[in-house]
Amino acid sequence: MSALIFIAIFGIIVLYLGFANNKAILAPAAIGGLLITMALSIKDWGVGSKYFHDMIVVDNFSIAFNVSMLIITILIFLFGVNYYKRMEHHVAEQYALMIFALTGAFLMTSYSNLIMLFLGIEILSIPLYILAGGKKSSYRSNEASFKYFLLGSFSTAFFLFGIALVYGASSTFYLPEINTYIAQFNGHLPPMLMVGLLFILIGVSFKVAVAPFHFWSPDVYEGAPTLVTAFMATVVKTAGFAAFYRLLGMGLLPLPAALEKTLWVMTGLSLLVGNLAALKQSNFKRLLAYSAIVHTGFMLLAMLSQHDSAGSVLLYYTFVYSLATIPLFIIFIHMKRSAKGLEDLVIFRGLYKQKPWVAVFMTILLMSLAGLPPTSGFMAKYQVFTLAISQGYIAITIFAIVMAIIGVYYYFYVLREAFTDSDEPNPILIPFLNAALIVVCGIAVVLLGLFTFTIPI
Amino acid sequence: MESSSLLLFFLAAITLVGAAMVFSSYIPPTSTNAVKFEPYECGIETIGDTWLQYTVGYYLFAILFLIFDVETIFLFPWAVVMRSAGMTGFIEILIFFAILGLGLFYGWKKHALRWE
Repeated sequence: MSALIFIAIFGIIVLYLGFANNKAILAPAAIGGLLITMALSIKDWGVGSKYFHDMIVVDNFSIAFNVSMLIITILIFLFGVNYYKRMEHHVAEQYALMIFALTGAFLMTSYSNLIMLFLGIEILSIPLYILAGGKKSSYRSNEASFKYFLLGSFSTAFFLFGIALVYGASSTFYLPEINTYIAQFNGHLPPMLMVGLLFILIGVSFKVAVAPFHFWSPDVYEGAPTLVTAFMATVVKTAGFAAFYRLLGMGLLPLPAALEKTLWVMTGLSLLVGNLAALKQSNFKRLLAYSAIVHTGFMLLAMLSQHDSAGSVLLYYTFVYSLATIPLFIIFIHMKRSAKGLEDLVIFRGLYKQKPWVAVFMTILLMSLAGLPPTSGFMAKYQVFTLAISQGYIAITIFAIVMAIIGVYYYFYVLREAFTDSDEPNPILIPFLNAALIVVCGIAVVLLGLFTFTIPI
Repeated sequence: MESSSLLLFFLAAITLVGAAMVFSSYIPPTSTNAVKFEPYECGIETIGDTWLQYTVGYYLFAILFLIFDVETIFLFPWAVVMRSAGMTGFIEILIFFAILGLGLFYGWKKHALRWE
């Protein structure tokens, strides 16, 4: 709880640090603040307490997800040191907005009241709408921001309407009370409650970009500044799934049959649509966007299995997915700069020739995303599949395994480009800090695969 | 039977909105003359395009005004329960003011209040 208050105030402090006209202190200060927040979070581990009339529940689940998101954000801020070097104005605002978004993410992991979930989603989203338009002079960035804002507010309206309908049926916003209310119907829900729950599901699905509510994500990922894309692909996804899991775990389990079928279809659709579209992409950011949709499919599969260990599996999955995604964006931004702003897959040509070690780490990271051993991506998928099979979801798991194999094609297509010689090689410059980030994340991805962790949450 | 409440809800929503739209097109007195199509019925005739671009400064001012708007909205419920909320409530509302004030101060420092 003190972590939540601290990070909210810390965002304002970073905002005001911008007046010091010293860009060099921003990133260290921001990272320092996040480390303090992490210490404050870990302090509450195992205590489990409720605040604000039980609207906020800080338990091990929320702390584990918060710490995971803090680590990812620290990595992104380290990436930001070099990324924002050429930016003259509003650097402090970028960091501050990301910290504000993180505040919303904290709320999303620790709510037990639907109003708090709504607040969390809004606090997370509004800074992101601004961040997506961070490149003011770029047409694509403006388009991304506007698209995200319009579609995002539309989905928020659905979400609010869903809350209203659920409240109309059950006369409560509290998840545990909704759970007992649902339980009395033995799976045969009254239509008003059913429609409300479906609308809430749509709102949350939009935020994590589950098919068929994924249409915004490729455009927004492509148009937004690369660092913001990395933030959206990792932290926002983690927060969204934490919220999703809490919604199901605290409010809806055991899932009513109709909702279970809905989730089942959404899982299958995400896997299928993401994979089929990713096969045809030539833009790297779009490719990663569609790959992210496929990954949400796998995470939904863990959610579908409705088991107590699903939270830990989700945490592991989102964490290793984020660890593999961030360095890929770092490599991408340097390739893009050396190719004078191109974003096609062709820009990776000649990487092995010039920087063989980067190509090797890229292989590891892409293998992790594709889910090949010995990386942690394989272990994450393995945990999801065993969990789903143990709960009797055989057909959809087999489908997911087939989809994981198809996914190898487009990840390795990128690799093929990286190992091809370029006709006109441009010098690739990678600053020391970013190189260190790539190496550390690459090693972590392998080590986490060898020593998998499960957290009692 | 179970779905009747939901159905009733949607029916009521559609009827009310539909009724408002239908009645508003039939009930008001209609008189058409050339002056009705002017942007300003009373005043000087416009010259040129009426779709003017105006400075983004208006928007900034509106946003900053919103700070005070929000402040008032929260001030009213606090004022109602001021005695029972006591010292804690007073300190909490001061913290709230401080945060809003920081927002205004930020806009001030960023020259959002300077009309150029």
